[in-house]
Amino acid sequence: MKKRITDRELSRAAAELREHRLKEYGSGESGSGPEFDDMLCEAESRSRRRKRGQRILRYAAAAALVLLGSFGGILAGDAQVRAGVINWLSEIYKNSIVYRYAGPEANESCLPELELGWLPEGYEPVEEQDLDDVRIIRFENKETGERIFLNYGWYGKTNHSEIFFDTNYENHIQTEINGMQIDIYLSESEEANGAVWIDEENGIMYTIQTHMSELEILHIIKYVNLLK
Amino acid sequence: MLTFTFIADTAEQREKLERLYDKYRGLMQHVAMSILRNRSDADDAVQEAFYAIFRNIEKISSITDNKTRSLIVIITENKALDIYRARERNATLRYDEAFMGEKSGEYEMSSLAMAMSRLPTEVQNILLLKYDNGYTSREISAFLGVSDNSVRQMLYKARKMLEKELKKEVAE
Repeated sequence: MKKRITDRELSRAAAELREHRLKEYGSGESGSGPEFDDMLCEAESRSRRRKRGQRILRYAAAAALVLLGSFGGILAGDAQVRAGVINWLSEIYKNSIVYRYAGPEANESCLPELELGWLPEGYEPVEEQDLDDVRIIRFENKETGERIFLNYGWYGKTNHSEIFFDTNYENHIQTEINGMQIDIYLSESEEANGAVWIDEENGIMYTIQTHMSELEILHIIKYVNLLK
Repeated sequence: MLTFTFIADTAEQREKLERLYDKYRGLMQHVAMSILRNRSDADDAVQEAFYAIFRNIEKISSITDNKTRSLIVIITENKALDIYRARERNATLRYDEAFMGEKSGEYEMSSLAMAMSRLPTEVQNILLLKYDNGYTSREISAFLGVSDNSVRQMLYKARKMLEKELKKEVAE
């Protein structure tokens, strides 16, 4: 029995699906949309707002470094926590890490709601999507267009026992917050920074990805509350 | 034009953007309307899609290619779905259940393509951008406004879901 679908097979199938979907939509050329110049003006003004917002965000990040100076206390080590994470194995590949769960199976069904006790100013949740029982929440700053992606889900269920995490990052830091081990991936380029952490007590795995600084990410993680 | 210097780095880019929009604005409106059923929301979705295209115009090589048509549909669909979800935040109805069922016409496809077509629309779109258009996960994330890592996770999960589907088919 074939075990793995090749990229070539996926390409052929994707081309078939593309043609199928285009036929379903038809040409659609009879419809009309706003005028090109109007679209261009709006796009230009969005770009300006975005650039201005990015400048503001850089100042805010610098200020946060000062305000969160006392935050270092949470970085203290805890051997018990590390032992708890033994059910997770990480396999490191060239461009990714797969966190694989090898502990007992979970019985939970509905994902609990989650609230963030701290978010940088101007951010609000704009989209929540359940994909294969993993919830993806997108927070956005409407003024700057900057985003935070937070994913979480049960682990120990058949489909959820793996976290695939991109590792195009220059720095990998491990720390602990609220008794949980946090893996932080920091980029020195334009890539977003990210973090992966496991809540052993509640059986939930999380990932976050954003252009914010390490300290801001840690601060967000510190105030993640599950509403059980 | 003042706007041109800010948005498009070269005259060719602006021209390409204008030609693309000219050719596909009807299709974009049609796609957005078929999901949102509301002119004002559809205009917003087209605007969002246009913005995503204009920020990534250098990644689009041909105007008339079917792959480009597919890309335009995918971006517009995704933006319309974002608006749909924001509008119906508490609704559990999925886009596929709500709208795909209304489309008619059966086309013969391979079992893998059929399995792909049964995945959620967002996952199909990412598979199409990756394996049909040949974009990298970073390029896909720029087009769709999702994180690079989410794209990679979805691709990884999609492959697993497809393999599971095909194994199930073989077993049956």
